Amino acid sequence: MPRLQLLPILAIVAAVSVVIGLTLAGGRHRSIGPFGGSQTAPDEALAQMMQTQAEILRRLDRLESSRVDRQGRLPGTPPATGPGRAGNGHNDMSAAAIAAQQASAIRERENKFVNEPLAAAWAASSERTIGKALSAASLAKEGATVPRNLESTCHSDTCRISMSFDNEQQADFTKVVFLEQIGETLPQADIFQQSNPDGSVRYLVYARRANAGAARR
Amino acid sequence: MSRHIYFVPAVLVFAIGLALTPVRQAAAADSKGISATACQPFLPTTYAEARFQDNAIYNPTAVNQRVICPVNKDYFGDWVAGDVTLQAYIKAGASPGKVSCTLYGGGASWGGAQAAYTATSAVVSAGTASSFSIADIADPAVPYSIEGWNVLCTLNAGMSLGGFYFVEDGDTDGAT
Repeated sequence: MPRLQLLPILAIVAAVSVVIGLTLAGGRHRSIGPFGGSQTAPDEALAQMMQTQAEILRRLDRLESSRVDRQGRLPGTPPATGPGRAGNGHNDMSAAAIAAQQASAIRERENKFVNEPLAAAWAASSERTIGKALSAASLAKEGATVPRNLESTCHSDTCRISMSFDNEQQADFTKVVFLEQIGETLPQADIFQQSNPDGSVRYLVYARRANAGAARR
Repeated sequence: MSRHIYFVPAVLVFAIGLALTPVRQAAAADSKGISATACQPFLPTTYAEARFQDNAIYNPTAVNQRVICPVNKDYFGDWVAGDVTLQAYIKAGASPGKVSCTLYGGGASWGGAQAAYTATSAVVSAGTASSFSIADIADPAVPYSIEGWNVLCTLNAGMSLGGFYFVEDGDTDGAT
């Protein structure tokens, strides 16, 4: 067989030998190369192996960094602070922890709202939009229920709406119709629900105009 | 010739093999179509009132009808405003009409918060197709207790919903 045709086979054998040789020679004195004789070739091999290893590490780093989220967490990793953002960290939470988290979130949202400056014209116009959307005439057309204890206050970007319903079914459907009705003025909303032992429900809605959310992050 | 000459091709074989080894990385963005037939009627709308066709849902009645459709999030972590867009394809029947869609995340009755993003199309002329988008979508600044996003659309009389194009411009698993 011509010598050239043997090259690939010899190359593979040599590759395996390099790995075995370097492994065995790992703890030996530098003057004893895996192939004996000249030290140049093993040194080159070692350098290339190290270069290869560095490339593998670079790839792993790249792979890992591309998988972390904006908080630097790997997928499925619980959040670093607080009891957890259950929707994103996917960590289990007790009912008490969820209630505490909701209370804390409402406090945070309310603080932002009360600190928002007042834009009188926009606030008055938005409050009229909300009142119209939740009027009997508007809701009756869609078969939705008029809420009780309606209160709405608007500042410069956000409106806080509080309303009550006899049960969750009424609340849920009215919410759907309501959000559609105010969508052109207030397209974004964070909705909190307080469920009472008698089955009644209170909604707390923070509805805001487009792009107002950008400042929240 | 020294026997060390065989060492060079060996290293080359190893290096080439390494270079050709595919490294699976997370996708930088994920865009997908969502068929309208993934939707379901949202009560009190029934299947008779939201008529499913081979490529759309049609409202054959004279009043508004609603459907709700799943939106599968592939993003790693929180959505940030500007990274996510949901575009709805619609068509008017014999008379002009509009479609309004609200994207919901989380559930208000499950604790935490529920996020809602609404957009309404312009009036679409009779017999013509159009589209509109819900943009500036972000995970709520407050937490919610369940994962899961849905889009709930209200179709005026005679309007059809053909589906959605959903873009997550960020690190995703690239899955459908």
